[in-house]
Amino acid sequence: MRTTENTKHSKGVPNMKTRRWMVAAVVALGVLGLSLAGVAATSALSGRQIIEKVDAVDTADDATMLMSMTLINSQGESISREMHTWKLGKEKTALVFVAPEDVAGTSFLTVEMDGDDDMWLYLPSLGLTKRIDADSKSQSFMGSDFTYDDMGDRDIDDYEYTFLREDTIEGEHVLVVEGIAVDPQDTGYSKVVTWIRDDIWMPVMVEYYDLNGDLQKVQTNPRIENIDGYWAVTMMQMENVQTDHKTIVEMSQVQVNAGTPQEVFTSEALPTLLDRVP
Amino acid sequence: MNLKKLTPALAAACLLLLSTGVLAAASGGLLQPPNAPVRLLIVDETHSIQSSLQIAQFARAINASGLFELDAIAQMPSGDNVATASYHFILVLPERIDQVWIVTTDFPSKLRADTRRAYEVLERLAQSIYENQQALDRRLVAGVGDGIFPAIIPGVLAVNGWLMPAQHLSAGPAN
Repeated sequence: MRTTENTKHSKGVPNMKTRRWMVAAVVALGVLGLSLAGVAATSALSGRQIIEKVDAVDTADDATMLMSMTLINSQGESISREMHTWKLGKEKTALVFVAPEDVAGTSFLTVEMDGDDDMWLYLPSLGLTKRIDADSKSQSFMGSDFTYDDMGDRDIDDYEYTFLREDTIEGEHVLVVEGIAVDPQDTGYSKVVTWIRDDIWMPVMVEYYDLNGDLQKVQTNPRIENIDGYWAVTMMQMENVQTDHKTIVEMSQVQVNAGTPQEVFTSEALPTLLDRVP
Repeated sequence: MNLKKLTPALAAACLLLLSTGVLAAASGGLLQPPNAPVRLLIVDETHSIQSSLQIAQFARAINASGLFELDAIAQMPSGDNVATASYHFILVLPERIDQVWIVTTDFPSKLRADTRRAYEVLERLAQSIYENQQALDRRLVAGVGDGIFPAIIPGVLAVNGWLMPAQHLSAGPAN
């Protein structure tokens, strides 16, 4: 008797082809089951819990870095600025412009205390150090597409969060969380949507919606590096889709736990920051 | 913004009154040799980043002119000036009024030629920065004859030694 894969040998016993389909189905169901288990485990985290994980990512006690910022308008014309930054935890940031010459020496200090931000600015052309309103944080950072708030660590209580879905960006598995602003006038945005890598709890993309609810800006973080055990975004791009203007910020010469003296983070030190740049 | 101008007669009367007080009570303020840098004090009462960066741009233009010796403070001076020499001009950016006040103890037209020239440069620079349609912090530039505040402030500041008295700035009756 001649047999083929498509011929049953006897009643009730599946032939080879059928058996292959059955095995494939079992495997597929197994994979699906594992995937569902993964989805069930991830969606057990609320939007708020996901953002809290991002906020809890370990940061170095202090860090210094050189930042270059390139502003590109809709005609493709660009200007660049260079800054040196010192950070102490998430509460203190000191920054001085190194180039170009017309802004060199202009320096900022932000100190967060009890939820309030203290901001100081030094203007070398005036020889004047002055305190700045905290609500200036929603203003453009030196003409770029980032606001001062965008450049710093956002207060997670400024938004109410909802987990939307899982996604994939550049081959990386991400969780998508929507944040609705509690006080849009304060944040400058009605909503932000964040794509977060759930292996390292770092954002890779953020959409910012204006007070009318229209998409205003898209931030991507195309380079995230592990530096001496700490994850850090070392390249950010912000594109204003309404004005067709773009800003690219790159960090280099990053040093963590470099022992930056506390005095750097005082308003008195602002006029001296340019001299402290390594 | 609509600017209410004092009538020339009223403005002159105010300044005459203030100048009388200045002559009686002023101290300090040496007579400046011709072509010496004009001493300028900027009072920046603003508190936003954008307005601060705009005044920094203004200050760079002032410094680039080579005409001024520039100092700056963050609030209106009070009390006697015991630390520095008096200023030819004080330029004020008030926090809550959309104006730039250029104050001095005499009308610009009465100033000595070199001082008047510096005043005109300062006024033009201020107008180009603050009356610019593209300016983020738009303000109207006002001098001593252009409003109540720029008319009153010089007398107080001169009495306390912050502004040079009129007789050290003016060209005299032949001007």
